[in-house]
Formats: sequence, structure tokens, C-alpha cells
Amino acid sequence: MNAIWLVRSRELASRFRFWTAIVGYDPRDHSVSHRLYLVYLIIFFNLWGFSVLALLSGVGIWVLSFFKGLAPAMATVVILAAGLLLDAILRGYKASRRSPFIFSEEDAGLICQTPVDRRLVALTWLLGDWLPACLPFVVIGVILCFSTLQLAEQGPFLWTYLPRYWLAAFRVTSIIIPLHLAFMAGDFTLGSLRLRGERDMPALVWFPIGFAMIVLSLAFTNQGYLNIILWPVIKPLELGLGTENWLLGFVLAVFLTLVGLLALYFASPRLNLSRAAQESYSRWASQQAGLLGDTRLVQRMKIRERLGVQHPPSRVPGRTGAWSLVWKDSVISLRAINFGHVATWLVIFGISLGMVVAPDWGTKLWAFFFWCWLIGRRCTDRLRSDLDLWTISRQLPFSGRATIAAELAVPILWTMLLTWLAIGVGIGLGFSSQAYFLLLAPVAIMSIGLAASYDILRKCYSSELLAGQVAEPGAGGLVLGGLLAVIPMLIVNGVTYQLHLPAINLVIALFGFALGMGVSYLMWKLTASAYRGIK
Amino acid sequence: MIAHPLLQTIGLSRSFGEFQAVRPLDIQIFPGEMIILTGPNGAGKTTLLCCLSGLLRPTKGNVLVDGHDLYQNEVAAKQRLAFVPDVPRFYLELTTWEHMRFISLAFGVEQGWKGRAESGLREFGLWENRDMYPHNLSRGMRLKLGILLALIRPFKVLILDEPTSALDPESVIVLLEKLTTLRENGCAVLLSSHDLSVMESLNGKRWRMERGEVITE
Repeated sequence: MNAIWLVRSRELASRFRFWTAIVGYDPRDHSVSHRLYLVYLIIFFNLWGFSVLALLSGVGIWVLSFFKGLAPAMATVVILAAGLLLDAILRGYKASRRSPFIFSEEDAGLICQTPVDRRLVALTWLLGDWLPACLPFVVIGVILCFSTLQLAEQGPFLWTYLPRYWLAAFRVTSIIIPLHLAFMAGDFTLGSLRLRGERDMPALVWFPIGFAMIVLSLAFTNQGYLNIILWPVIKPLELGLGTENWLLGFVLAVFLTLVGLLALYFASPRLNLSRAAQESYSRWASQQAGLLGDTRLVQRMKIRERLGVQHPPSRVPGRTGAWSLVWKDSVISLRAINFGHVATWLVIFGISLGMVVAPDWGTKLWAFFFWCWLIGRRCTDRLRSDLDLWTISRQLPFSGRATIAAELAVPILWTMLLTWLAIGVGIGLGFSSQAYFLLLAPVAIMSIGLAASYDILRKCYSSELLAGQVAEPGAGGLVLGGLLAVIPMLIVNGVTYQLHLPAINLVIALFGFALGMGVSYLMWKLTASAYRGIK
Repeated sequence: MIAHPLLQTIGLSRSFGEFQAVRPLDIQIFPGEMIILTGPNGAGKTTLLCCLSGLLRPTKGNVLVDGHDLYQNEVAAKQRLAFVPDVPRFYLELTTWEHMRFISLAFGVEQGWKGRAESGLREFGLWENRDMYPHNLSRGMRLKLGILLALIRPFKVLILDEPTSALDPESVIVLLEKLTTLRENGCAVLLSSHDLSVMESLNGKRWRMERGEVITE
């Protein structure tokens, strides 16, 4: 066996074993019982996969309903072509900035320093990465294909349709797989061109950007030209989803794949593997941490990568004492802000709005539950980050109460503002009956944040914190926070409902607010005491 | 007048399950004293230093810093104490300079912190790297930053865990000079070290630690 393929196949086998271990199958065990178990697994996952995809075809029908004026099969072609193109452009953009070839630490020593055939390395690495990347498109393609069939049948799913479904799934899969490989080969070619020798080629980044701009501009100005440009993608998909000429579509897709692979073959003889290894090490390490489930490490690695090497001093004005924690958190937040952070705040806003406008108490309760969970996590992010740096945070000369207040003040304030905004929007939409929630929301948020913090702190041990192991917010904190937040709301809601005296509603709401403040104060003391008393 | 100890332990011990890392210990360190803690690997030196600095909760006993209980009167005690761990860790998102700023703010050092930070960074050869994130610094540079974060704030007791382990010779000389000056100014210094040249240069009292027990001179 070729040395490069030997190394790569071992790596892929090890990755594969990670997944088989989850279902209790060990490929190295050759006993009869284990082989029978493998047969059972294959049958089970085939049936399970088919059932899940068939069930999800309902979602597919809902998605296809947005494409009014287009036949379901054509809408499926549009979705798949757009998805494949978007994926290719994004991958191409990344490949023109950083190596698409991801080498492990061992690869860097075993392969990258030796005079192996670069073309073989490029092709082997492409094939190793391609199948997992292709899987989501296959799944989406099959779901949409099932949806198209269901729309055509206009009736309940019958087992007699099964061969037709399988055949349709096979047809669409056989087109998507080579098409995706063709695109990935194109992206890897771009990466190979950039990694030729020691020279960097920053201009390559304009290939994917330029292509995206051309496609976008044609989509709005001249659809005829767009169809011509995208014909090699759209035609095979059309044929794959139609009833005739599947073979022609397949041949077209395979031809595109061959073109892509040939391009990679001719672009990679001077591929600089050392550069590729240097550029991809952090991505490899991040992948490994992700496989081990260490999300914090993955997050830290991503932040490191984004921050770069240096930064001029922050201009955020600082104040002495416990306010320094607020200064530090402000600088960190401004510097580390990303789409994920913004999305979490938007979700908090959305759920707050959902609680106000939800039509029934069941939905409100679910929204409230999710709201508590999100707030608990968001409000304790900074506290957990400081606990992670125990050698610094424990030395700071602040009392437990000041520390807890400073750690939670900013996230609680943000959550409060977003919740108020959501309630305001809800009231604006005509849901005025929940106006008292404006007064109770802040105390509810404080209770939830403090309860989540208390839950984390009671599970922390100084010996573990020294090793950088911080407890996660758990179910205990969620339940406690939810209860503390809901009690004042239930009292206010119950009393106003029973009395039917709108004139004193404000007084009752103020009573609920005072009660919530009292509960939050006690929770603050308890949390501060838990912080001081970490064993 | 008899000086009261700046650092004192009363029956301090620390166990990890059945294993007793630090056996019951009563020590006193007075102003101007320099203690060098030695001993084989695994003797319990780092555990003891972490207990003394409040990072690790003792299983039993108390730590008093300038008469203030580290766990009952923590704010007053921490204002008088500085600790440098053997492997300092830092915020990912703050640069070297911003770490100095943060610690200065936290300890109420508003006046003249910039000058102190600059001279410290220059002395330890970190001035050129002041805008760098600590994760881009070498191990030795990170240790220097850890030392500087301790030195920029006011304290009466300084505890250092193997402070010279990753330092270049020039920086070792700078550190030893600083420690000597601190001692002359009445601070109590306790450090652990395996470095014989450091022990000889500092001319402090030597305490040996073995199997969780401290043998004083």
C-alpha cells in the first residue's frame, strides 16, 4: 500500500472508530457474534435513516411551499444548486486564505517533511475530507426528493411506494455526490495554488468573491446568462430529479468531478506541505477537542485565532475597585464579540417576545423554561470565565458580594433591556395584559442569574479550579431560578385575576416587585457566601 | 517592640482524599524575612503555597496575613498578599499592558501605575511585547508577566512558586535584586526553588519540605 494512503487510511479508520464506538461496535473484533451485530446495525440504521428522512419530508413540503410558481422538483433543484454553490464559495473563500488540507501533528512530522508526491497527498486528503462534508447535502437532497414524491402522490405514504422512494433517493444521491466532489476539488485546487512554494497569493481570494458577485448580480439582472453559467450544476440535478435521462445527468456530474480532480492534480505538484501543516494545526487541534466534547477548549482556540497577535490598548475608561471587573468584562466583550454572542441575545429577545405573545399557558411555560435556561447560561458566562482563571480572580481584593455583583451586573442589565424591549414590542402588538411583567422581569432575571451562579459555585472545588475545571450550570440552578422567578409572577397574576380590581393592579405589581427584590437580595447573599466558601 | 508576623499559619493542613499533602503546620514569617522553600518533587511545596495564598482551601487550620484571617477577613488579607504561580494563566482577550492595567485598577493603584508598569516591563524585557496577547508570549515571558502582575500592586507578603524556572539569566538577576529590595523594605518573601544559585544569592532562611512536613532551620 502507498505510504501516504496508509497514513491517511489509518487516520480515517481512527475517526470512523470514534463513531462506531458510540454504537458499541469494534471493527477489530472479528468474532461471529460481533459480525452478526454489524449486520443488525446496518439493517437498523438503514431502516432508521429511511424512516427519519421520510418523516422529515413533511418539513421539506413546508419548505417547498415557499417556492410558489415553481414545480416542486424545480424548487428542489434551486435549493440544492444554491446550497452547493454557497458551500463551494465559502469553502473556496476559506481555501484562498488558509490551507484546506488539515494535517495533524503526526502528519506534520511523518508526511510534510518528506519528499512524497504532493499530487497524491492532495488527492488523498481531498477524498478523506469529502464524504463527511457531502453528507448534509445528501440528506437534504433525499428529504426534498421524498417531499416531491409525496406531493406528487397526494395521498398517505404506502409501503408499496417503497421501491420508488429508494430509486428516487439513489438517483438524487448519485448526482449530488459527484457534484459536491467536483466543487470540493475546485476549492482544494484554489488552496493548492495558494500554497505553491513559499509565495503567498492574496489575490486568489477574489476568485470566490468575484464568482459570488457575478452570480448575485446576474440573479437580479439577467437570469438567462445565470442559467448558462450555472448550467453544469443545474442540468445534472434536473436530470437526477426527473424521470428520464438520469444517466446523462450522472455522466455530466462525473465529468465535472474529473475536471475538478484533474485541476487539483495539475495544481498540486509544488504544494508546500510545511506551510499547509503550519496553517492547519490549530484547526486540527480544534477538531480533536470537538470530538472529545471539550467545547470550552474549542471556543478558546477560535478566540485565539480571531484575536491574532496583538492589539493597541483599549480606550474604555476604567475605575478602581470591583468596577475593574466591569472594565475588564467590557474590554473582553468588545473584543470577543462574534455572531454567536449576538445570536444568543437575539434569541433571548425572541423568547421574551414569545412569552408575551404566546396564545396559551403551555407555550408560555415552555418559552419561560427556555428563557430561564438561556439567561442562566448567559449571565454566568463571565463568572465562569473568571473562575477558570482562578489564580488571578481569587487574588483580587473584593468581597464575595462585590465580586458577584460586578460579574453579573452587565449581563443582567443587557438581559433586562432586551426583555423590556420585547415586552414593549408585545404591548405594541396589543398584548397589554402582561404589562405588569415590565416591573417583574428585572427581579426574575436577577433571581435566575443568581440561582445559576449559586449552582455553579456550590459545585466548584478550589483544587479543580486550579486545574481550570469549572462546573457547568446544571438543572438544580435552572429549577431554583425558575421557581424564584415565577413565584412573584404567580402571586401577582393570581391576585389580579381573583380581585378584578384594575385600580390596584399597580400596587399588587409593586408588591410582587418588592417580594422579588427581597428574594434576589437573599440569593445574592447566598451566592456571595458560596463564592467565599469554595472548598 | 516585638514585630508581629506578616504571614502565619495555625494548624494548617491539606488533604486530597486519604492523601495528606500538607501535614498540620504552624509557621510564622516576619517583616524583612526571606524564606526559600526547598524539597523534592511531590513534597507538597506548591500545595502549601497555594493554601497560603488562598487559592487552595486548607482542610484544617487558618492563614493570617498581617493579622487578618485569609478566609474571614479576606479583603484586608488579599490587599497585603501577592502570589506568583509557577505556570501563570491569563485572559485570552487582554494584552500584556491591559493585564497590568486591570490589576492596577483592581488593587486601587490609579496614580503612577503607567510609570511602574513601563519600568517593570522594560526591566524584564517585555516592553516591546506590551500590546501582545499573552498566549503569543513564550513560557518565560508569561512567567515574567505573572511576576510583574504581582509586583505592580501593593503588598506586604510575596509568595512565589519556582519563579526562576523559565527565566533567562538577565531576568533572574533583575528578579533577585527586586526581591532583595522588597526584603529590605520590610516585606516578607516566601519562594520555592530548586535552583541552588538562587538560594545562595538570596541568602534567606531555608525551609525543607518532605512528605508534607516543613522542617525549618
